[in-house]
Amino acid sequence: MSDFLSFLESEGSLQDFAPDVRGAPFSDIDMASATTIVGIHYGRGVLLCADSQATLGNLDRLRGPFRKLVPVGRTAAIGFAGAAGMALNTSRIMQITVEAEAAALGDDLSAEFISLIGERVLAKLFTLSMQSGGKISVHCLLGAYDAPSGRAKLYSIDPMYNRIDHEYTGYMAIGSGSSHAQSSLDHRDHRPEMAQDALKQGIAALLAACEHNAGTGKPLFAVRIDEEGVYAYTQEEIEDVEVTNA
Amino acid sequence: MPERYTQSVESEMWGIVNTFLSQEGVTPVIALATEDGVVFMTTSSIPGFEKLKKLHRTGLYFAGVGETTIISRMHTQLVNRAHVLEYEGGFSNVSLGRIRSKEQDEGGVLSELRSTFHHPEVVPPRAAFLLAQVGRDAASTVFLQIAADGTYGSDEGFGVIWDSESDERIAKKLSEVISIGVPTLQHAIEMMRAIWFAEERLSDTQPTIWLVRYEEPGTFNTIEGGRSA
Repeated sequence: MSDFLSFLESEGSLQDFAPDVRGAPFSDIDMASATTIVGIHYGRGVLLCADSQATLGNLDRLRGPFRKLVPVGRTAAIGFAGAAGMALNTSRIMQITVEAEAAALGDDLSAEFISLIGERVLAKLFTLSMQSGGKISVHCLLGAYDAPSGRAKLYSIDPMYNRIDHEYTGYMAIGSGSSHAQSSLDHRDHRPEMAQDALKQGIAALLAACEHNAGTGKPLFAVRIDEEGVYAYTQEEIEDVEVTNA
Repeated sequence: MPERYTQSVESEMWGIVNTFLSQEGVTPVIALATEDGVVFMTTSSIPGFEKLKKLHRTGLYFAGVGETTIISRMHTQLVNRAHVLEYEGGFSNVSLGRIRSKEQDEGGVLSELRSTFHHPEVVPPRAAFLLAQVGRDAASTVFLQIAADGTYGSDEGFGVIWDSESDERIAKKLSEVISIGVPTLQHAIEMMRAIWFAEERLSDTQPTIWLVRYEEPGTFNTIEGGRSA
């Protein structure tokens, strides 16, 4: 599939990314997973919303803010929950792989191709995740615009590299506050047609997670992905919606 | 192996490469650094096969003439190399110099070209390649020409690839253009068109002109016909 990932592996660079950690004392490390990411379909686009709190064990909550939404190429963005260092590296390798494949192809990649790259990157991490008893793992939400079909797609890729397309339900939440966010979205009364409407639903879901989950905290971030590419909402735009939702 | 034998094989291989590159339908790639950006002039006899390709969004570009399978393979290898360099050391780690240096090593594509070219029982790679690193201005822009045997050369301010006799002739004209100074965009296009159509084999072709602006090195667009990539 991805020629670049194979090349990276043959160069020995991917081994640094997923080192052999057998015997490492993971049981001594308390690594709570805390984050909430929400993805929502609207019209022909997808919206991703994320909190920005980094949690270290059960003692420290770092309000960086920690950006958990990362653009991947020109037409996709990824949100991640899980071990922070691994998540950052995962998103970075996805960014570079998508750029490399797009340059080799001379065109933007399809949403499915990007999601397959994500699946393969997480598959590389699977062994590491198992060696750590599941403590070092990454769960991703991917929004990607698909030029051939003219609409954006929403995928989740879990630590066991299951890749799921959420076209049918129209939304998905991941992370420690996902049950609260998911519950908020379960009770929405309509599937949004416009990005602004999706933003309201996404912010409402994240506020519900912030309310009930210690691992989810403000400020909130959001990006939309559609035929124009990836647009990151400003803090002012998000705060306006928060005030309306309050 | 006796030196005379080696020279004879080498000369035969160059004959095969140049015969292929000088046939009808094989057209050159010409590049010139101007005041505004780098202009590439090219055409392709194969619909949908663009000769100018992006290597990396920092402003690295690739073009090839000759066999398309070799060009595509070389392009993919160099794209991969550029992005591995980015993975290992960030944007500032990506440069033509580092790519060339890595690809000269054992297993690298330049090393592979060299060994294929010198193999007496294998058809040599019938292609030539041009790499460009678009800088902040003409002075910081680098061109690198790679020949079928993996050797490379660089000219200041311009680049051209075709069969060896023709590219020497065009290179001489381009060096005359830049000897006066860095040309304006308009002047560069006029001169490049004049050079292009002075070639008998190109008189019936319609070249495509691409521009990479210094302020936006990751994007290349055609400046005639409205096509963009």
